[in-house]
Amino acid sequence: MPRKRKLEKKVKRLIAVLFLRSRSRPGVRGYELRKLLGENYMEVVRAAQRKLEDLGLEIKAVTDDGKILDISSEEDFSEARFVLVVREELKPEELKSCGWRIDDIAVLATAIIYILSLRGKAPRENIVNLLKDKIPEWRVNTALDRFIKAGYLEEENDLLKLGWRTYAEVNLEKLMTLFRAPSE
Amino acid sequence: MSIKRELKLKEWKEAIKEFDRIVSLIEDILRKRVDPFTVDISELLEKMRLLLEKYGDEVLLVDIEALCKIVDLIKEQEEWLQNESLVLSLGPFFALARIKQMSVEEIAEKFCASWTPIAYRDQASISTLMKALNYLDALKKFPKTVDFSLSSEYELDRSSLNLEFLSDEDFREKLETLEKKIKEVLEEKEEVDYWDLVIDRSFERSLENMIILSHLCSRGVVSIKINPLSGEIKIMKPRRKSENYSVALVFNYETWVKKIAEKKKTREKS
Repeated sequence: MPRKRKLEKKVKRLIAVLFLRSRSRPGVRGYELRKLLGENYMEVVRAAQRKLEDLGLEIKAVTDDGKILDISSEEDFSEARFVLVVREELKPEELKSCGWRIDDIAVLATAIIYILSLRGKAPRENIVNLLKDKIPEWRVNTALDRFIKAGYLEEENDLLKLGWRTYAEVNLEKLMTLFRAPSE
Repeated sequence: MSIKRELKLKEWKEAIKEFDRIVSLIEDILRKRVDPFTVDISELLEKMRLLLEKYGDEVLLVDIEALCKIVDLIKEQEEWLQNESLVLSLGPFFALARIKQMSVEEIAEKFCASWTPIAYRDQASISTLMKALNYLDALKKFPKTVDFSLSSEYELDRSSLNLEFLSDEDFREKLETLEKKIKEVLEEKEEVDYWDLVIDRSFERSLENMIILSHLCSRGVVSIKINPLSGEIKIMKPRRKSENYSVALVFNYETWVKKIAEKKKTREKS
């Protein structure tokens, strides 16, 4: 089989795999891709990236501690998680179709902002108290548990910190800037 | 000789206390998320060095413990600095004020402008399919179910038809009523007897109350406390999330008759 066709076949396989999710966590690890696509799996990832650009999608490699790796570099990607993200931010009217309730999204946003304002970790209790007036307490707790399960947040001795998925999906700098700006 | 020894012991105890103070200070900072730079690490290390020089091996273990905590604190300082650039000096009080000020929709909207979600496909696993098949299989054991056709001729009238099921709306109403009732009782007393709360004039109503109360417990609105010795069950204000556990309570017509009789008896006595 010619090299180009072989590569195209692998790209198709990679894209299909990237859409899958194991339990509630999407994405594939680097070592899994190596097993699936061979030693030069990064070449396939880069080729897939070029194809996905036209569709408004992007492949991101993120480590467990939230570091986003540049896929055009020659770093070690074996432990990184490869995910497919939408290139452009969502519009407010698209929010309802993303699968989360508006309340849940507000819980996540509040948790992220509060965690960042406390430089990385925040007591779970404080976040629940902060939202108690707007959303019922049980719903805040349920949403936090779901976000922990999905990888957006991590819990450590009753302290919450940001999970790998927040780093992969959220432009934190932009979020903080938006949050600092006064409401219209 | 013994006085000298006692003095030495007293000094040693003071040294141990000093180490404990350092450990608890750092633990407090880590737990309460206070600025880790408020502590002068070099000063702490100097203090520890002097104590170690004076007491040697006798304070070695507590010295190691304090040193470990200092390492944690340095790690915390590093994380703090890493996030400093991100937060653009947004303090917790400012964040708190902003969140309090904004509505849920506003928060969600701002978040969505900086969110590029992961694209993935929802799929059913073999185990999910098996669960669904088992569920359908279990349904066959029941007698023929009510046929809910969508024709306009057949309209459900909740008040005139006693179909023995609750709509979402009715259920929510009942939840709210019971929640309000419990909150009023718990404002006066710290705890209230479970059976006093659920037992009603009919067996069906009592059972319904139990089901509604179990939902309130699951949602964390109230907590249940059981005394394993006396078997007493109390309803109280919600406790911490980590203390959650499930409880199964047996209830049948016999229990209801018994509880009604008990209730009558206590009412007569009072």
